[in-house]
Amino acid sequence: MFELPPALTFLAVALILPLFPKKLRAWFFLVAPAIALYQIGGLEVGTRVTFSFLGYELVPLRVDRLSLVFAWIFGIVSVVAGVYALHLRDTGQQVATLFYAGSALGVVFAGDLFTLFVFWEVMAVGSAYLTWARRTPESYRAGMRYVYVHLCGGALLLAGILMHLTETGSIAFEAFSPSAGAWLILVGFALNAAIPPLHAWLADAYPAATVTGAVFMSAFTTKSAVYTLARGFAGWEILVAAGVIMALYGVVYAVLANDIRQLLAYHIVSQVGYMVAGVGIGTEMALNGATAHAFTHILYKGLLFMGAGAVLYSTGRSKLSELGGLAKAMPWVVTLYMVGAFSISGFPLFSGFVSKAITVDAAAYAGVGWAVLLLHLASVGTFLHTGLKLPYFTWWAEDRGIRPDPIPWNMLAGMGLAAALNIFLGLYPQALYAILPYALDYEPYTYAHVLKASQMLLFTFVAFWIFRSKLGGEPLIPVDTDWIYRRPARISYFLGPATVARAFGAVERGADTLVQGAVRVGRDPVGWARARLRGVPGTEGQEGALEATSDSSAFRVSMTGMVSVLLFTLLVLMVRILT
Amino acid sequence: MKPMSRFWKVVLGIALAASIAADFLGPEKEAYAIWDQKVFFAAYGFVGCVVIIFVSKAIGKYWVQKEEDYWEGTGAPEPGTAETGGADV
Repeated sequence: MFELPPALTFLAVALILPLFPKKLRAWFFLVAPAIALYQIGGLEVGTRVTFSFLGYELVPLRVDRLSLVFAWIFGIVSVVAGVYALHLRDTGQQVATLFYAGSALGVVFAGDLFTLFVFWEVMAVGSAYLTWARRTPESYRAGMRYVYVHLCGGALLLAGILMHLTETGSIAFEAFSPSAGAWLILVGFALNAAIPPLHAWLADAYPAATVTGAVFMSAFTTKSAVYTLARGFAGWEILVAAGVIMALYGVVYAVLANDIRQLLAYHIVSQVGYMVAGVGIGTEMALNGATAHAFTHILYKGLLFMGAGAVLYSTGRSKLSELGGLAKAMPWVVTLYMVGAFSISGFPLFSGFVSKAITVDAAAYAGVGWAVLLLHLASVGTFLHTGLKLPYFTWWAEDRGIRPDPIPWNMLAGMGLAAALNIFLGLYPQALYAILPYALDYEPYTYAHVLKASQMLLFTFVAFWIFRSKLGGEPLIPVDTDWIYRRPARISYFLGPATVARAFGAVERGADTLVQGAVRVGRDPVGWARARLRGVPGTEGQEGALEATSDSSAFRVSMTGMVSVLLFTLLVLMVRILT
Repeated sequence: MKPMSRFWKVVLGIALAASIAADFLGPEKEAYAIWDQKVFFAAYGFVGCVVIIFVSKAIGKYWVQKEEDYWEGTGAPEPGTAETGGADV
């Protein structure tokens, strides 16, 4: 059982799930991560499962410490988010989620690039369905854009893999050396990691997804990409700059976002920036930091999306300019959300504090001072938006008289589980440090660490309180790099698909007219000739001759004759080919 | 915007003062970089927050923020509409 890739467990449950009664399907969903976690617990470092396919050695299961960390958190978040989604009665979403989560596990255990690519693409389709499943015109369009962008990324990845194969003769998924193929693969990974300018799909699709779908989406796509970057591109210096830019880019756009789930989506970009920077630094400590931060990020970001989803579920609203004064009506949601907010902001005793500091300290030890300063600035922005702006304008600020509907017990239970895990890791970080890819001797709770975090958070709060009137939601949208493909979409549609479609239509109509004419002539050649001659100067009297010598079917080709000619032609061709 | 109550002002004031005092009363350590200076993170938190708010707002106002209907009419037309040449296209 432990030799089977855990991804297969998810895919098997996805195929069986529709056979269960509708009410039991949400519970049966949990069977997949439960078995997968049991499998992951039994996997030993060094395990490899291989088989030969078309002369290539495929490795669907390659177990090492790096893949195990990501596998653990993907399994855990599937349980937590699965509990949050227990009220769901949508088989399509459940099956798509199982394919999505299973493929994410497939990616982290893939030891070769072909296997990786297959799971990579299944992830894209599974996650796109979670956007479409909201069944609104906007979510349909956002899902289509999501699919187009990810299929383009997939095409680049495949091109890179094939070039890499040509260059090296190997499809093994190991650390890459700089080459044209490796750069293309990097672009494919960077798109899923949401590195600007390839990130706009994230802030476009996640706010459009279903309440539960967004929670799963926040966990898998970007973090599986972080895994692939850590595996293939550790130490590539360009990623340090890319990561720092990401961290600040997300912060700037989070100021401008009015939709609470879009704000959180931009903070995924920001937080993944820490991980990408850590990968770029490439030391053992930095890779541990990137991995640890991916682990905690999945837990607290999932919790934050659950909180925002609860607001959307109970009020039908998600814009800051339409929210406010909900704290008394949903005290548990705001309390549990704040656990996630404290975690992402790096409050001592919460999970983000014990993971974020590793990457930043690794940058300091590596002598990348500018990155240290800018990553700290991103931390300020994180607390400002996720810990202050979003909760203040959603649950406090102006009371708009909204009376939210009650939310199902399981949504609170899912949030409670995620909150408990965030607090557990904050209090007992050694549980996380013990499973990181490299041995780590790190103490987050030093006097200096706690003091600098406290100072930064307290004074960020003071600045927020003074200028909070500037941060209220506005009924505006921030335009991002998706402008490149969204704004000219109509023009490119008319120049591309529409022109091809119209040309195809013209050819089709022409062929249709030609065939109709041939049929008309063939059905009654004499009648057709008579009709042509009628009224033509110099043919007077000939019509009568034709009428006198023939009836309407006199010159019609007989069906027997036509079939005989065809069969004879076929016979001649066969004889010609065979002899 | 509701003002902060006196109670919370006092709590916040004590917390701010304590965080500054702790920097001077705590163990001395070697300053290797600018972020090792005393009260650096207090200043960085406040100034950084102000910079983020105003720079982001300026970028939004003068560049990237648009009306909510900005994307309307920019995508490909729906299938089956007159613009696409009817349902066949």
